[in-house]
Amino acid sequence: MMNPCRSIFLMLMLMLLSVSVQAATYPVDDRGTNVHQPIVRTKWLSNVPTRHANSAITGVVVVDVQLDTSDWKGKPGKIYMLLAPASASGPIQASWTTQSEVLLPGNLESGQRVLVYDGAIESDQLRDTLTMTLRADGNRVLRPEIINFTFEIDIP
Amino acid sequence: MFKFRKSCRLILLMAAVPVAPAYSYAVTITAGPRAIYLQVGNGTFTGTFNGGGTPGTNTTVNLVTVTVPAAQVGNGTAQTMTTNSTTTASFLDNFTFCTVPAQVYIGGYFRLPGTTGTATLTVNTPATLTTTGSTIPFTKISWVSSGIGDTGVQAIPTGTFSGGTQTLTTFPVNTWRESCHAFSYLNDQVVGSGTYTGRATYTLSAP
Repeated sequence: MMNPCRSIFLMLMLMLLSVSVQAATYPVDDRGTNVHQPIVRTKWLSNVPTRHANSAITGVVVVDVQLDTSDWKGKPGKIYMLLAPASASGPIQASWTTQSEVLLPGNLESGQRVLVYDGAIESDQLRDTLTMTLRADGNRVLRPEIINFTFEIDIP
Repeated sequence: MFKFRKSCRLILLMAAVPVAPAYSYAVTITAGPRAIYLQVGNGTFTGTFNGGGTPGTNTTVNLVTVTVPAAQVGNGTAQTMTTNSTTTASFLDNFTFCTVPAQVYIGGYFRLPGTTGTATLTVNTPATLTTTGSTIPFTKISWVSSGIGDTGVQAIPTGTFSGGTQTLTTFPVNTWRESCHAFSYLNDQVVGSGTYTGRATYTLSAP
């Protein structure tokens, strides 16, 4: 009869093994990312606050994205950028273009994720520069608002 | 027994491995910039407020004057004053709101992030209008507030200068307010001949 402790050990090993080959979503290390002037001064979309005018504020920020993809090198994957859920200041919209076209241009809103890379992971790092326009409701953003972006990868 | 303990320690270590770290990058957006616009007499505005135009700067200081005929000096008959302001149309919507030279246009707005708050419109005058060797109290000058097509209470109401700083009205946030002021000199005291001058300075201040 097998030692019970050894049985548990084997079961856990099997679970870990099965996890590593199953489709799964993993956070992507973006610690190499650099935000140029991370405090973004906004301006009103409409010069004056008429009843009919849009109360949106906008600002532009440039982000040098660097993603560590070494764990998935040689595998196909889909990388998504996520914007944290909305705070009391209301939803934030972000839209961006990319300089190197390594990542996809796009847009997303608070609480959403959007595809920025789809294909084989061929290098240890993915790099691109995003020129990002942020938009929020100026009547709800009453003080500086921190917006967090994250990346995650789906491995099939 | 020793082996069992050793294996279980290993199990605990293995079970602790798959904890995903969290990464993110952050951007901070500031609140929308505050803005304020006040026009007394001539002003500058590209487009209109309702059309989403852009306010400009105009440094003109307009005059309001009256020449009292010698035979009427101090007779108690109020003298209508006129202005060199040429503003008749409102930058709110380009509607012809004031008449010149009888009226001085006063209007503007202020903007804050959010939907609450008020700005305060004040006017400051010295105690007197002066000429060499003589004065006239500023309290001798009044105005009547109106506007073409307006039927209700004026945004900047009728009044009389106090010879100091006085509050005229408040502006709600993100809203245009305007009136046309027709000034008059009370003319109830005999004063010496001369050109009496004094400046009224209007200030719109927001928190």
